[in-house]
Amino acid sequence: MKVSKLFLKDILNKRKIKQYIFVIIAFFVSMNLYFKKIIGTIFSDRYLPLMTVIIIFTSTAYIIYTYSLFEKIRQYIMLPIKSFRFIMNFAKSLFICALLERISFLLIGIILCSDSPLLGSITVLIYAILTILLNIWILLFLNCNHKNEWISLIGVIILLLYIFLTNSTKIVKFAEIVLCFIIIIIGILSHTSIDLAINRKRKSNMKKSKIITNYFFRVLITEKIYIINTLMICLMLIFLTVMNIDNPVVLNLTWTVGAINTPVLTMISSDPYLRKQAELIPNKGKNVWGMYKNFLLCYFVTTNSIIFILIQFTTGQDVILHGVFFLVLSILETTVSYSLEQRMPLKAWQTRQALWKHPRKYILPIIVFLFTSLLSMLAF
Amino acid sequence: MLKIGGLTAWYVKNKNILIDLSFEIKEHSITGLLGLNGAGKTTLINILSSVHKSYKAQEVLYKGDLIDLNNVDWKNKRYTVFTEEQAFSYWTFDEYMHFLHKAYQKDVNKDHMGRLIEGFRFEDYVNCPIKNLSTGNRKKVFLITGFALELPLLILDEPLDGLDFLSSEFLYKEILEYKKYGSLVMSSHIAESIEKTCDQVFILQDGNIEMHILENNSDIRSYLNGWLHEGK
Repeated sequence: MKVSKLFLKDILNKRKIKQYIFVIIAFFVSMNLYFKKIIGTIFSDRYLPLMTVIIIFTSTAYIIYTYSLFEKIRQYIMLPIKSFRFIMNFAKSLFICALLERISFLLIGIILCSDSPLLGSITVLIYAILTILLNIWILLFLNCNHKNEWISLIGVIILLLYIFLTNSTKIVKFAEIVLCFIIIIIGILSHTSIDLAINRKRKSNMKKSKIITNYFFRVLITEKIYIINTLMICLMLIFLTVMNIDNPVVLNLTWTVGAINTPVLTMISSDPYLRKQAELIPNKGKNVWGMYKNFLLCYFVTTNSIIFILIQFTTGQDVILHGVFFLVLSILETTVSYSLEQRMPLKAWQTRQALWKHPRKYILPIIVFLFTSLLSMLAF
Repeated sequence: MLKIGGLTAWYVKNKNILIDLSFEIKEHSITGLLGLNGAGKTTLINILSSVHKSYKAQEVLYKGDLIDLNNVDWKNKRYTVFTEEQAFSYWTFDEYMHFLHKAYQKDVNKDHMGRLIEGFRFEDYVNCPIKNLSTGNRKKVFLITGFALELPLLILDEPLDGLDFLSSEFLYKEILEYKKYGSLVMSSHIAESIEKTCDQVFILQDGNIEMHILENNSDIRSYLNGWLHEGK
């Protein structure tokens, strides 16, 4: 039995593969014709390993986390398959997925822009596999928390940083990478396949709170994925405002980034049980939908306040225009995202990652970007 | 109390799960819902709960008045405990119970609530996040809130799933006592639970429905043998 097929049918489907192939071809054509000279330097040999590790680490971590919550994984673990074979096939599926979603784009960039495409491609593939295995090891470690295992985990991370920061010879670098592989494989071997499944019922420290009574706020402050995503958005907002605030496009983009928090904007779609309760409970007076609307309003008012303050700190100009953006966007974003959840709920998804990749997530940012661009043009 | 005529439901058009069903749920009665897997029990429950929208009905009458099953007036009169329920997992039972009473604009009947918590042996879990509870205790969260609401219609989908022996016995008792507050509809795969508690039973097969009045010492298997095996 091909074990990887089990995972692949959950992560990918024929339609997705066709879409990826189309995007890969489009990327190749556009790179070859237009962007080779503009962004070619990104694919230089110097930055390639670090770039590969960051891209693959972040994207795979997202899949691993959401997939490990998936109930089906428990059914797969029960199958009579050796643990190591099971985990390695999970890694293989992640690699195939990463190849379609990320690695292929890096390879195209290298083939078109690098001076040594063969060596560059091999480097990307080796670092991608290493990162996927490291990610799986981190997941196994977090789920199981073996005593003292964190020492070897930190050891590998330090070793990787050392590889990136020093200019060793190729042979020494190769030896260091092989050492990383060995430590990671030994780390993985110390676990069983059951450690792949995140234990939903793990006792958490959350308690009844008299301050945060809104259910959606409770989810936001309790679920790691929501906290991390929201913090990342805040960091991105700071980065954008500091980067180039005089550029009106970047300024509009900053307001747009404030409207991108897919997990928060799909809180009812991502919880089928809650969606059922939202239909069941009378929608008059206190109800699920009303609670979600209040939550969204508070969320957008807070996010837009941060953007407004950041812009005023960095430029101190156009207080009225940005004040208007703050007020109108807070209401517009709440109304649009609420209506999308109520009228266009996302139901046909297998993993949360698939849900969060649904094209519906682009509707609100496009509206915000068009609105801010239009108003900026009218103002000047 | 609730009379439905000519009910047809589907998931995919032209593939009807329920075909032209007509039935009546009497006031202050307990109705059992029986059927093989895939017979349409959960679909029927979902329609009554305003969760399944792909259906048409010739008439839906509540106490003689025409109603819409998606209307808030109907929603205020019924509550459903679904088979598998994991909603509001970041809240505690206490938080969910208070929210639900506000949503239904009802005051908490503290005596009834206390009796339910004690009967289901749930005292230690009242302030635990639902996420941290076992399957059986999670089920109790929704059963207790459902019974405590004291609405005209309480719907239970496979209420015995996940419950221990003592809680099952207490559940039978509560079901029988619910007649004081209103009517109750429950689906179950366990014939004994229907025999012990129900006044009437609806048997679903191939999208059709048949009703039987249950009397003391009724053997439900006789209905099942006579009806479910007819089509074979």
